[in-house]
Amino acid sequence: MKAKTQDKVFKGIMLFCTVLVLSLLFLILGFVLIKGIGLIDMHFLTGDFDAKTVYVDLQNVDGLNIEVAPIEYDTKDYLKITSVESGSSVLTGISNGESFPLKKGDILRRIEDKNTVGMTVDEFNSLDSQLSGSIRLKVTRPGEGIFPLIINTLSIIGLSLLIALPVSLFSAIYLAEYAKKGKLLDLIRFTTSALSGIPSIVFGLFGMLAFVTTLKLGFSMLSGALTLSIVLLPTLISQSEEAVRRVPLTFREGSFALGATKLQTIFKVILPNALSGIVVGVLLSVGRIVAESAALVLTAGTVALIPNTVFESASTLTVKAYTVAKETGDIALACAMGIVTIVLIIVVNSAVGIIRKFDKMSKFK
Amino acid sequence: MSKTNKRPKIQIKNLDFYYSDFKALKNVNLDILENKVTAFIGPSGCGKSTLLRTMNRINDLIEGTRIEGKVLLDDEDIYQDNYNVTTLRTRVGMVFQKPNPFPMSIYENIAYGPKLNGIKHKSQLDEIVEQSLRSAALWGEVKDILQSNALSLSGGQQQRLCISRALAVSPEVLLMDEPTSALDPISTLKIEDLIAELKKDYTIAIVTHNMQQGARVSDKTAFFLLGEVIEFDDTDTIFSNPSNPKTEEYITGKYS
Amino acid sequence: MLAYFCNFKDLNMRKTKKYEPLVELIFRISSVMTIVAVGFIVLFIISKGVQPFLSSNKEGTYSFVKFISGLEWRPNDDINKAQYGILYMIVGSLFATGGAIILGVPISIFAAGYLSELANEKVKKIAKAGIMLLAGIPSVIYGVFGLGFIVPKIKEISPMPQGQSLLAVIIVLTMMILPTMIVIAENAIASVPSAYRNASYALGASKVYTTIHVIIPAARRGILVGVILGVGRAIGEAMAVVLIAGNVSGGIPTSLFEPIRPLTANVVLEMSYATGLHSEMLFATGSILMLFIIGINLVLSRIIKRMGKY
Repeated sequence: MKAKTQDKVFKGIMLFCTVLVLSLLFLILGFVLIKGIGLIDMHFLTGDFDAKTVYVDLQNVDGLNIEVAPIEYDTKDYLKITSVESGSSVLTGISNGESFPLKKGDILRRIEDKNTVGMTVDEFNSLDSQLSGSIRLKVTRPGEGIFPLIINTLSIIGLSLLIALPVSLFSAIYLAEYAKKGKLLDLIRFTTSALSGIPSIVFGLFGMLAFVTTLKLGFSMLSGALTLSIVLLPTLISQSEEAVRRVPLTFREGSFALGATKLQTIFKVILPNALSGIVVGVLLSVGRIVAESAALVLTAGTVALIPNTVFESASTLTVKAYTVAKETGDIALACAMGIVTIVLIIVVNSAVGIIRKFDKMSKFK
Repeated sequence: MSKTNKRPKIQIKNLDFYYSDFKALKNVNLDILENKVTAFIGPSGCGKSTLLRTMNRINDLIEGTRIEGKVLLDDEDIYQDNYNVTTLRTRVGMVFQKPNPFPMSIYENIAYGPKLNGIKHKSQLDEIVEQSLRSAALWGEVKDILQSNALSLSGGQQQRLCISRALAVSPEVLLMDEPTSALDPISTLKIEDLIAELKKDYTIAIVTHNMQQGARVSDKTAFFLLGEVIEFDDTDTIFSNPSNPKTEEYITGKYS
Repeated sequence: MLAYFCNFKDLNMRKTKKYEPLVELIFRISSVMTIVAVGFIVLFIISKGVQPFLSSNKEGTYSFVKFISGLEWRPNDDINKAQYGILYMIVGSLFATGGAIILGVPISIFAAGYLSELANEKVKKIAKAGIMLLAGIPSVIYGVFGLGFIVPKIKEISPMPQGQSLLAVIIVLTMMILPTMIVIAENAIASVPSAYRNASYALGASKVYTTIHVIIPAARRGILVGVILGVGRAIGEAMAVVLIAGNVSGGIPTSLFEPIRPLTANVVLEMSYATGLHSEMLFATGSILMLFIIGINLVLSRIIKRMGKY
C-alpha cells in the first residue's frame, strides 16, 4: 500500500517535470508567435532593414496615377502609396542619377515644395490633377524588412562552410582512417571536446582580436565567417568521423582487394557512403550559425545592408534581433525576426530527422 | 598459359603470422600451383583464412599484425620493402566470405577496378564489364539491368558479381575466402561450377568450411590445425587416404 | 582471355602514387586544426587579458588584486578615476549558474527518467522533437522572451523598481540548459543494461520504483556529464542574460530581485566601443571566464576518462 502511494507520487513528479519542459517550449514559441506574427508580411520578408529617404525626379508627368492613404510615420501624419497604376510616371523615377521606381508602401513626404504633413486624400487628389511636366518628390521608403539580413545569414553560412567543411572532412578522414592511438590523438580528442564547450562570446573575443584587429580584416563578413568556421569544427569533425567509421569494413576490403590505393578507396567508396552523415553535420552547422549571435556581433558587426564584398560588415538576422531588443527594446520586431529564425531551425531539424530515419531504413547500414 | 604447367605460382616459405601477441600461423610451407584449385580446410580459427589473406596482403589493413618468413609470387617476395601492394592486389584478386558489392550500380561495381587503373573509354569499359560478367556466368541474368543497384541482386548473384568484379582487373590468382558460406545450396552449386570453369584461366586458392566442397572443386588440399599445416597433398589422397591421423579424424567428422 | 586488357597495370601507379603522400599530409595538418585553434584562442585572449596588470603596459597598469576583488566597474579614460572590479560579476555569474543548476537538474532527471522508462513511443518521439527544438532556439530569442515576458512578470511581484534581476537570469538560464541536460541524461538512462531492470522486476519492484531506485542511480555518471555541460553553457551564456540581468555597475546581489552583471554581459556590453586599457580589461574579464570554462572541461574529461573503467 505504502509502496503504491510512493509510486504514484514519483510518477506524478516525473510526469509533471516532462509536462513542464514541454510547456516552457510552448510558452516561448507562443510568446514569440503572438508578439511577432503581426509584423510578418511581404514587405517584412523582402524589404530593406534601414529606412531610406530620397528626392525623386519624375519626367513627363500627367497626374501621378497612384492611390494613397494616410499613415503615421515618425510621429507625424503622411501619405502612403497604396497602389501604383501600370504606366504611371512614378515608375520612371530617378534619384541621384539612378533609377528609383516608387512602389506600394513608399511614403510621400513632399510634392514639389508642398509638405504632405496632415494632407488628406482629397487634398492630394486635387493637387495630383494639377501636376504635369517635370516634378520632384521627397519619398521615404520605410525599413524594418529583413531581406538583407536573410541574405547575410545565408552568405555567412556558405562562407563558413566553405572554410570549415574541407578542413573538417580531411580531419575526420585522418582520425578515422590513419591516426594511431597515442598522445597526439588524445590531445586532438581533448581539444575537439574543449572547442565544443567554449562559449560563443569567447569565440567572439578571439575573432575580434585575431581577425578584426590583428589581421586587420575589420568588422566584416570574412571575420565573422572565419570565426564561425572554428566554432563549427567540433560538430563537423565528429559527425563526419562517425559517418566515415560507419562505412563497413567489407567495402574497404573489397576496394583494396581490387588494387585501389587508400586514397582511391577513401574518395570513391568511403566518402560517398558517408555522405548522409556528413550532410547531417552540415545541417547542424547551418542551425548553429542561424542561432549564433555573440561570436558574430564582435566580428561581423551590425550593419543591416548586403555588403558588396566580404570585407564589409554584415549583420545576420539573429545579430540584428539582439541589437533591436537591446537598443530599441522593440520586442515585437525582435519576435518577428525570431519567428523566421525558428522556422529555419525547424526546417533544419526536420531535414536532420528525415535523413537519420532514411539512414536507419537503408539496408547497407 | 599452359594447363600442364606444374610451376608454383605462389610459394609460402617458413611463414609465421602474428596478431599482436597471438601467433596465428606457425612455420607454414606451401606451394600454390598455377591453374590449379588449392583448397584450405580445417576447423574454425585454424589460420586458413589468415593464410589466404597474407597472399594479397589484405591483412595489412588490420592493425598490429606482422609476419615472418616469405610469400613469393612468381618467385618475387611480396613482403619485401617498397613492394607495390596495389599492383599485387590487381594480380591477386579476392572474393570474400560475405558478398560485398559496393552500393552502386552493377555496371559501376565492375567498372570500379578498371577505372582505378586509368581506363576511361566507355567502349573499353563496356567490353570489360560484359567479359567479366560472362566469365562469372552472370551476364545472362543481369545484362538488361546493368544500371540497377547491385544490392537489389540475390545473395548468390551478389557473390558472382563480386567474382566478376575481381575478374575485371584481370588477376592471375583468385583468392576465395569461404565464398559460399552465406549462400543457399543452388547458388553454391553455381559458384562451384564457376570455379571449375575459371581454373582454366586463373590460379585459385579457396578456403572452405565445407569438406564436400573442398573435395568437389579442388586439385590440392591443405589441412590446417591450430595455425599449422598438418597435411598438404592431392585432394584425392587427402580425402581417401590421408597419411596423418589428425587429418583423418577431421575428414571423418571428429572436429566441427 | 581478359589478358587483352592487362596493359593498364603500370598506368595506375604512375598516376596516383605521386600525390598520395601530399594529400595524406593535408589530412594530417587538418587533423591538428582543433589543437591549433584552442592553442590560439587561449594564447590570444590570455596574453591580451594579462596586459593591464603588467607594469610595462603602455596603456597603464592596474592592480590585479583590485581587479579580482573589486566590487565596482566604472571605466574611465583617466586610470586614477577608473574602477575595474569584477568580484561582484563573478559572484553574479556563479549565483545565476548555481540557481539554474539547482532548478534544472531535478527537472531534467525526472523528465529524462519519464521519457526513457515510462513514456510510450509516440509521446517520447514528440517530446524529443520538442526538446531538440528547445535546444535549437537562438539565445537571443530566450533573451527577448525573458525581456518581454519574464521581466515584466517579476516586476509585478518585486520590491525593486525593475524586473531585470538575478531571478530573471536564473529562470531563463534554467530553460536554456534543460534540453542539453535532458538529452544527455536520457541517453545515460537508456544505456543502463536491461539486466538491472529485469533483476529489479524479478524481485517484485514496480517500473516507477525501479526507475527511481535502480536505473537513475546507475546512470549517475552520465547524468553528471550532462550537468557539467549545463554549467558550462550557463556560465558562458551571453546574449540572453545581457538583456535581462540589469547589468549594474557594482554590488554583490543580496536578493533574487536584485540586478546582476554576469561576466559575459560585461564583455558584450562594452566590447564594441572600448579602447585602450578599458578594452584590455574586457579581455581580462574574458580570460577569467575562460579559466572557469577550462576548469569545467578538465573536470569533465576526468569524469569521462574514469567512466571508461566502469
